[in-house]
Amino acid sequence: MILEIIVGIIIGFILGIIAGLIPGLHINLISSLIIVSLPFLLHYFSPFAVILFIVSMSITTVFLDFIPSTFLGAPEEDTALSILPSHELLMKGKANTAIFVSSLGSLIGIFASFAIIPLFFLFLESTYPFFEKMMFFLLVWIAIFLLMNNKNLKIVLIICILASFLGIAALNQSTNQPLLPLLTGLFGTSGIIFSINQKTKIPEQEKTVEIPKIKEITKPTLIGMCISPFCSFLPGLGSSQATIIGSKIFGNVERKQFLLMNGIINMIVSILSLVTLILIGKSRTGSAAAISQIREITTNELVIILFVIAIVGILSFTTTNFLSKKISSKINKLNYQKISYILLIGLTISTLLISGPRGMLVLTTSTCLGLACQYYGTQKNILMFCLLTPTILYYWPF
Amino acid sequence: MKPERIFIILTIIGIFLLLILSNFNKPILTGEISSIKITQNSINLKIENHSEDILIINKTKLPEIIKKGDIIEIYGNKQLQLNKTIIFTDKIIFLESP
Repeated sequence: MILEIIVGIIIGFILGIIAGLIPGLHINLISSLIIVSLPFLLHYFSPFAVILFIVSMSITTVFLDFIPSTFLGAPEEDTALSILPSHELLMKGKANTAIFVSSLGSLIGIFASFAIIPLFFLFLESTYPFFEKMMFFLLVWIAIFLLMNNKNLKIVLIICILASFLGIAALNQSTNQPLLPLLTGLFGTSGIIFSINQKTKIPEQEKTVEIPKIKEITKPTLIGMCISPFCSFLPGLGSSQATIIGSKIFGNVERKQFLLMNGIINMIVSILSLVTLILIGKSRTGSAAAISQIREITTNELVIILFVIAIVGILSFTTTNFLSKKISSKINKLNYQKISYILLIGLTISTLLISGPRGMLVLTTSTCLGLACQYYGTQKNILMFCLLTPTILYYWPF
Repeated sequence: MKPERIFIILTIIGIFLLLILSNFNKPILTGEISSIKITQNSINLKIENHSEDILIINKTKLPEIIKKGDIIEIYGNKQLQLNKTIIFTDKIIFLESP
């Protein structure tokens, strides 16, 4: 039994590294692949070993994901107003710092979530019915907050409306994994095409990492701890949006603090989604949804899961920063355009295979909207209205 | 024309095509209701010749009168959770009512 569990954790960790390094491979897609292969896995492993395999894999993916999202799809800094904080640091030769800070955030997030979990056990079950009743109003407030956070309101409104319609249209298709082409197009392929058009050249990367001071860590950690519990059961809200809301409510944070906070929120939400699954039976993340199909988790098992998360988290943090240094030392010597083209072809083929012809139409349309957003210089988080609006409509109380 | 405008126009065309295509979706389940249990938040159904328990969560999408013996078509997404099929319904069409 113990050997089986250790094997499950190690396989999960290795597959998590591979999955994290492949761009566009979202954890929800990996989870659905796991769900499909559950009968096979449960034939050879005990249910708890499979649960730990999924946990190990999803935690590793959260860390390793920072590498492709930093190194790929970067636009020229001068021309892109909607540049992401990690891309901004990459273009300044500080990719290693961006990845270190993000992964440090996720590592802090693991231990911060241990402090939140007891509170979750105390209050979630009793307060959730209230939040469920208020869900519509909460989501509308978040939507308005995200809209008002932008400068060019007229353009933002147009993009927001189009993203909403696109989300509704895409989610109503009888296709496999409609979220894959939708999110790949809005955030992946559009960024890659934009960087190809701009003939982006990656500067030489600094080997040294700027380690944030304790003072710089405290604020994002506290904000992350305050905002994540809500994000963990609010559907349609991504960690980037939660980070923006958190930084606006509690005062502006600088780029590095934003990355740190995003890492913290990402991880806390992943861990709290497991607790949410135990307490109210709702699966907020793909991995929690996969676990929900195996069997219920007991509180004692949760303690073991949290211990495994801590170990895998430390290993993933070390691996991420090791691989980041290896890749950054070679990235400016590689043909960035060529890599982008290969990536684009890979994402298109995988969409066609998984989601079929309708998925391709979703991918094309969402890529166009992502590109429009980038050419207008609007913040890309507004594109998350593709999920926010269908969720608001789902909770429509009138 | 500026590229951003071209992309906006292409997006609108894509959305229209997707909305048109969504009218040609196939039902995920068709059959006669063999048992039905309505709770405050959901509806539990059993359809003849389908072994799984079906749980419909967003029951606001359901017609008000639904009873045993009705032959229905369900459109939406299927998900398996703890050996229960949960259906997020887009629409339900009555084919026959006893």
